[in-house]
Amino acid sequence: MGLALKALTKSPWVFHVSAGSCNNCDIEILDCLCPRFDIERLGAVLVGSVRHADALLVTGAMNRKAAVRVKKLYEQAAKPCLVIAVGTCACGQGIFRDSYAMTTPLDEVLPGAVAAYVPGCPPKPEAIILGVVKALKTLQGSAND
Amino acid sequence: MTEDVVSAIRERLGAKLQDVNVRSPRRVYLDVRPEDLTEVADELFNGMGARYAIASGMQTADGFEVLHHFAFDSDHVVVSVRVRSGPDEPRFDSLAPIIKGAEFIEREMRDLLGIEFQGHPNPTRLILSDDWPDGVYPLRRGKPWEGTVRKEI
Amino acid sequence: MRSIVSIGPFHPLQEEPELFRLHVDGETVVDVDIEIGYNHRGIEKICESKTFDQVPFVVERICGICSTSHPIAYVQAVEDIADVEVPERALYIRSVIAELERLHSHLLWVGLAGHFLGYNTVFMWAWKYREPVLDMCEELTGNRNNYAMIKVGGVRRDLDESQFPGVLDRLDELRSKLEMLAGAVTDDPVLHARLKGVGILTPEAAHDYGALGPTVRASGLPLDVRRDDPYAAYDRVDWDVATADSCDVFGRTVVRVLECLEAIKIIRQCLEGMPEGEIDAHVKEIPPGEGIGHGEAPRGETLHYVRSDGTNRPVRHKARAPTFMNLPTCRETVVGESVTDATIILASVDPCYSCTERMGAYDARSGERVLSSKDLIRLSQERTAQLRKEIGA
Repeated sequence: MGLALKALTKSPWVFHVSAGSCNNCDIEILDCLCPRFDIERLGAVLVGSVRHADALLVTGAMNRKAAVRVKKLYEQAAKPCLVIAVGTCACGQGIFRDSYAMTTPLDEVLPGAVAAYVPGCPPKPEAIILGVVKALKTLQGSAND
Repeated sequence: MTEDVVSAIRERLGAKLQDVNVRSPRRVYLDVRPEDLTEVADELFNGMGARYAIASGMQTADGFEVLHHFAFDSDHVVVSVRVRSGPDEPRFDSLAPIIKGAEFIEREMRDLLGIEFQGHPNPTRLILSDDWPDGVYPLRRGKPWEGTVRKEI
Repeated sequence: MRSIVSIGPFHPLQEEPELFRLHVDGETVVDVDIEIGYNHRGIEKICESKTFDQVPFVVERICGICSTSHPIAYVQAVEDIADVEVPERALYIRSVIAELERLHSHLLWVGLAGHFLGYNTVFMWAWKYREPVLDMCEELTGNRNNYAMIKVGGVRRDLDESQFPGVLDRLDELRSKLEMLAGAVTDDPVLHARLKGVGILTPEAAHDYGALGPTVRASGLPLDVRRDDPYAAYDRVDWDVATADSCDVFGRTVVRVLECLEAIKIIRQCLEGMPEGEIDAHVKEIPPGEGIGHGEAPRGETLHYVRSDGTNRPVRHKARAPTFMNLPTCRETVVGESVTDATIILASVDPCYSCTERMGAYDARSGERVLSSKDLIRLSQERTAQLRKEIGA
């Protein structure tokens, strides 16, 4: 494994984007930063620009307006950039699947990019952290450890 | 109290009211001709100081209907003012010139139901995405977007 | 303390529209455009294809942090149509859940406000004390959010009374922390300098826009659905409407902290006075008609209008969240103010948290973007640091 990739898996820089979510998942992601869960002790950092991101946490069911911007953001991110679908909406649109306001699901807007699906409404912070860890392990080819 | 509010409304607006339905102690519905809407709303909002809570529009079997909901908080009653139109080109006076709180909801009804609000200061798209075609109103009966709007962005 | 805790959803490109587009002349905001629609999910249309009993699951997801207030407003609209008498015990349970939600919602806001102002310890502190509240929600209802407790005619599950003493103990502990926070806020000269006289919303403007919740109560208007159109158990327990007269961001902060204390008071009385009996009126049919239900969410009145035609689905369902009325007030509160205060003023109406992250400042003459939301937050934090030096606090 190259040096860059090794650095990536030790200290993932994570960018968070909402594609029209109710905010529950977004709040639980923020919760990961806070004293009880504290992802910073795992080296994970929430960054302010997608250009610095190793992983993209996406929430929301892909509302048409927001989905365009998610796509543009992913295109700006340096690759490899792992996309992690957080919450049932991001995984498969859930109850919003047939809504006129939605486009296709995340993994069709960004085909091949989604490394992990973390279902839940919202998923608990522990589940989100596990999702990030599992996604990172896919880079090492050991996702099922 | 509701009775006081209802009598005051009748006194001030009598002839303008097609119907007054005291549905329950806390819910009153007034039916009004579209040409009288602004005057009635003005009296409730400015004359009587009611709070503008929201409006709800819908397509009915006969056409369209908009309900503007006014809350008389200290009297513990919500008074809703109803205007109706026929099925073609639904159009009502905008309340936005006298009630700033009505601006957004009228734009939303325009987006989702295709109702025009005459005199609205900014009758532009509010919540539908930029790529959504004109003339497709999702809250109208059935699924007006099917066959017209591509799912993919 | 790390300064890269930028919580933003996007770092927008130059030409991308933000939610709040501030037009600035030098340091002053001269105009603001608001663009919404990023969260539009077509919920009202979805509800027309659901049965009356399925709808609460949909509306619970309108807003994650006002999760209970939408189901409460909706079921009350349906109960209004059918003249349902909800059993006492269910009314008390509804209030308990709603007040627990108010508590963790306001604590979330206090944390975010702390972050925007550069008080990152407040952010960590507030979110730390949210956790026990979320734990209590999980113990009592089964989930940290999206409790699925509210149904037409009552509540879906009963509460386990053996859990009450543990809940009351943790609320007592939280109350002493909140009293400490209230003291800290009212005593801090830097916070006074940052928040007093900032983001003024006059009572006249509040009326004009239909402002709601702490936003309007801080302008001296004691509007609160729990008092004005009592529902759940609010007219059966003792509590006060929190108001302030200052019309500014400081007032909105004080109101929210006071409401946390009132929430604890309400929950205590509901748990201690919980009546025995049924939790569900077992409503079988909804007759044709129309109904309005509203509740006091943490952000203000949530109002739902439902029309039925005698079938088992609503023929029309209008759901209006409080932020819809509060957002446009920023035209009054942020115009004329400095860009350093823009973030906290916009945050003071407590929109969905990610909304405040989507701001940009544009030069009023050239139209060029001059500041991103990250810049605006940083300016706000720097202003606090500068004031701390000047005031010597």
